[in-house]
Amino acid sequence: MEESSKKREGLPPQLLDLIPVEKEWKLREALGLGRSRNTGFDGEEDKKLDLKLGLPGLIEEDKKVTSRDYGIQEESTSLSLGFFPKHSKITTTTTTTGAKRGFIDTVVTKREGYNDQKQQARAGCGKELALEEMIAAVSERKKGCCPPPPSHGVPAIPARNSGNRPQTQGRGAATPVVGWPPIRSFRRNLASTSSKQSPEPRNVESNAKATLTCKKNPLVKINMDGIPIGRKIDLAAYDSYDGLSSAVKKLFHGFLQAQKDIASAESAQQGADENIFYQLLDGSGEYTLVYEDSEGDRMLVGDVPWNVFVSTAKRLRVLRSSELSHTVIGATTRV
Amino acid sequence: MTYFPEEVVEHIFSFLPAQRDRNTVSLVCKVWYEIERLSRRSVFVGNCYAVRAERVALRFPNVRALTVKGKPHFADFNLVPPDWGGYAGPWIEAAARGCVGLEELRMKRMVVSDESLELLSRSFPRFRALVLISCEGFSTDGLAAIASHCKLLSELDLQENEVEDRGPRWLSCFPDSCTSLVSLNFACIKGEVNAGSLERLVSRSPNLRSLRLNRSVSVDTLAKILMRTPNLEDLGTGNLTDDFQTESYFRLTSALEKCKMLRSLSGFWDASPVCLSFIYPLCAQLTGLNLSYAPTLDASDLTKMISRCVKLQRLWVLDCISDKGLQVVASSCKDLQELRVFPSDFYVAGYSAVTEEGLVAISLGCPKLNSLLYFCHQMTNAALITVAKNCPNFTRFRLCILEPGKPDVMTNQPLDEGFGAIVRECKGLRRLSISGLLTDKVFMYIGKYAKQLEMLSIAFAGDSDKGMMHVMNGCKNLRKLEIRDSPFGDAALLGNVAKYETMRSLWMSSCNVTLKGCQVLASKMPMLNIEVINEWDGSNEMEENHGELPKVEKLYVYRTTAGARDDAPNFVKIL
Repeated sequence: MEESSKKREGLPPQLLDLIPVEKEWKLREALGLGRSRNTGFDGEEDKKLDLKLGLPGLIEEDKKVTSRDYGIQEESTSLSLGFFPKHSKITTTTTTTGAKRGFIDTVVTKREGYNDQKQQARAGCGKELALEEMIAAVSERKKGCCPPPPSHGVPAIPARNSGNRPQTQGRGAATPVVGWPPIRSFRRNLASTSSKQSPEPRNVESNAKATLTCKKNPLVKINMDGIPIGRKIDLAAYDSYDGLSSAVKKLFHGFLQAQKDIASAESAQQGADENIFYQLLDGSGEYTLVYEDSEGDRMLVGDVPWNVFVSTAKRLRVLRSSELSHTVIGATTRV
Repeated sequence: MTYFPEEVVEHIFSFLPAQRDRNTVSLVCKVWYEIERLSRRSVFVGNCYAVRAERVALRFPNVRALTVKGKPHFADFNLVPPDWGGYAGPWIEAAARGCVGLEELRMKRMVVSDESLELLSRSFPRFRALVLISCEGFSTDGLAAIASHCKLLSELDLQENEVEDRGPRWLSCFPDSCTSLVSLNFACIKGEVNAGSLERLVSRSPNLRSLRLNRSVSVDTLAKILMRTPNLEDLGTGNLTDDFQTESYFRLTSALEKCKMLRSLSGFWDASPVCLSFIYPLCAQLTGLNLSYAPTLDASDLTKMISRCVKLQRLWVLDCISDKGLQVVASSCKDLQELRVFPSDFYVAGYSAVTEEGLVAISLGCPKLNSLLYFCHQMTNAALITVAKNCPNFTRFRLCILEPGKPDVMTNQPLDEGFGAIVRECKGLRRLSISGLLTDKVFMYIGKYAKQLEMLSIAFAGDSDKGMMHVMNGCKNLRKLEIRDSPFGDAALLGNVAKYETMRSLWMSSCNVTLKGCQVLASKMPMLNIEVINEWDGSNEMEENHGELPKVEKLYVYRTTAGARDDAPNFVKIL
C-alpha cells in the first residue's frame, strides 16, 4: 500500500493517474472534508505546486483526469447556450468564438472543477442545468469584451500565492471567475474551515444541526442508588426537566417494584413508588436527581436552562436525598 | 486677517477639523498655509501613491493622526496581483524622521512588514493607536514589538488582515505596566493565544471598552474575561461551541448581566444555538450585531435572537436568514440603518435563501435604512423600485446578484429601471454597486441623477463606451470608479480626460481598453499615473496574432503629485 503510493508520487500529474496523489488525499483529510472539496480553497495551493507550466491544453489534461475520478463525462461539458435567457447580449463574434479554444477549454475545465463540488453537493442532480447556466453566464460576460487572459480562470486564492503561473491556467475552482462574487478570502474560507459546515448548499443548516447533535451524543448513563444495574438515556429525546423526570421514573419503576414486592403490601407499594419519584428535581422527595458535567463535578439537576443541561451533562444519578449533603456540590455557589 | 497674531489664526483654524476645509484655507495665502500646516493634527492620504511620504512629513511635522490607504478596492477580491505595491514602510520611515509626535496610525490595504512595526513601536514615544485594515505582510512578531514598546498603547485594532502566525507570544508581550488599553481587536489572528495572558491583560485594563477575540478563545475563557469588563461596549466573542463547563454558563450569564453598556456584538464563531440563549438578555440593548461568521446558525436560531433586538441599528448576517427571517428583522428592528447580507453559498448558479422579497420586506419595515450590502441570486425591477420608494435615505447601496448579467427574474428585462429608481429617489447616494443584466441605460440614469455619488462599482454591465461616458460626464462628485468585465474601451477612457484630475482613481479590468488608449491618456494628462498591469506577458502576443490591438488586462489610473512610483514590480508598466 505504501509502496504503491510512493510510486504514485513520482508520476507527473499529467499522466493518466486516476487515483488522486497521496498529497491531495492528505490535504483533503487535513481539511477534514473528505472527498467533498478537492478544489477547495486552501487545497488549491498545494495542488498548484504539482502542476507544470504550459499551455492551457496541458493543464487541462490534468484536470480532466482528476475530474474523471468523480465520474464526470467530458462530453457533457460541451458548450450549450440553450438555457440562456433571451435578453442576453451574446453575439458570437469572431473575437469570442475564435478565442480562443484556450478560453473555452478553460471554461470547460472550470466547469469540471466546479462540478466536482456541485456533484458531491447535490449528488448529481441539476448538474447539467448548472453547467449550462454557468457557461451561459460566463459567455454572457464575454459579450464585446476582449477574450480574457488566462488569469480569469483563477480561483479565489489569497493574493499572496498567486505568483504561481499555473494558477492562472483555469483550474477548477469554487468560483469560475476571478474575484467573483466579490467576497473577501476570509469569508470564503469560513465555509471550508468551519468544522460543522457541509458542502450541501441547501441543507447546510440542517446538516450543521445534525452534526451538532451527533457530536454531542447525549446518551448518558444513569444510575440509581440501590439498583445495581445502570441504564442509558438519550437526553435529546426530551425537551424539559419534567420530561426527563417522567422518563427516569419509568426507567426505574420496574426495578423498584421488583425490590419492594418482597417487602410491602401492594397498595402501600404503589403509593411509595409515586412518592419516590415525586419531587426528584427539588430535593424534597426521597430521591434527588443529580448529574455530572465534563469536569466530573456533581450538580443538582434543574439549575441551568434545559439546553445547557443537555450539552453539559455527561452522567446522571438518582441519589437518596439523605445522601445529598455528602456528595453534591451546589452549582449556584460558583462565581 | 493678516493683522491677527498667528496664535489667533491657529485657534480659529482649530474649529475646522475637516481636512477639506483645512486644505482650502491653506490655499488662501502663504501665511495661512504655514499656520495651517504647523497646526494640522490629522492627515488623511486616500492613495499612498498620490503624494510622497516625505513631502507629507515635511509639510505636517506636528501631525498626531495619520491615515494612509494603499491598494485599490478590488484588491479585496484578488484582482490586484501580489507584490503590486502599497508598502507602509516609506510612510512609517518618513514619519519616524519628521513627525515624532505621531500618536495614531491607520492603514488600509497596505503591505506592512514586521520591521516597519518594530520601527513604529520605537519611534513615537506618545504612540497610542494602531488600526490596520485588510493589510498583510506582517506576523505576530510585529505585534509583539508593538505590545512591548508602545507604553501608552490604548488601541490595537486589527481588522481582516492577513497575519502570519508565529505563536501566542505576542499577547504576553504587553508589559504589566500596560494598563491603558481601551480597544483591542485581534479577531483576524488565526492562531491560539494564551488564555492566562489574555485574562491578566484584561484584568489590568480598566478602561477597556472594545474587545474582539479570535476564534481560538473558548467559552470558558470568555466567561472569565467578561467578569472583568462590566464597562464593555463592544464585544467580539471567541468560538461559541457548546463544549464548555457548566461553571462558564453561570459566569457568563452573571457577567453579561452586568454589562449594561454593551451595545455591539460580533464573533459567534462556530456558534451553537445553545450559546445564543445566553445572549438573549442582552438583545434589547444592542445596536450592532454581526452574525456573519456563523454559518452554523439557521434561520430560526437567527430570528429568535434578532427578534429581541429591538434597538438594532446595524446588522450583518449570512443569507441563511432567508426571506422569512428578513421579515422578522423588518418587523422587529425599526431603527435599522445598516444591513449586510452575505452569501453562504458562492456557487453562481446555486441557491440562496434570500431573494428580492426579503429586501422589499426590509425596506417596508425599516425606513431608516441608509446602508445596504446584499448578496442574492435574483432581483426584479419592481422590487428595486419599491425599495427606492420606501427608503429614500440610502447613502450606500450595494447589490450583488451572484450570477453575472442575470436579468429581472420575472420579466427577463435588464435591471436598468430598478437601479434607475434607486439613483433617482436616493438623492444622497454616495456609494453604489450594480449587478445583474444592465445596458447603457442604467448609466444614463446614474449620470443624470446620482449627483452626490462618490464611488461606483461596475461589473459585467453596459453595452458600449456610451455607458461609461454617461458616468464620467454626469457624476460631478465621482471620486472612485472601478469597473470589471464591461465593454468600455478607449473612447470611454479618453472621453473626459480632465475628469481624472478630480477623481482619486479609476480601475478597469477585463474591459476593451488598449495600450494605445492608455498611452494617449498618459500623454494628455501628465499629472496622472497610468498603471498597466499585465500578469501575463504572453497575452499581448496572443491578441496581436489575431490582428487586434493589444488589450490592457488591468488598468489603474490615479492623480498624483509624486510622479511614477519607484517601487512598481515588473508586471506593472507606468506610462
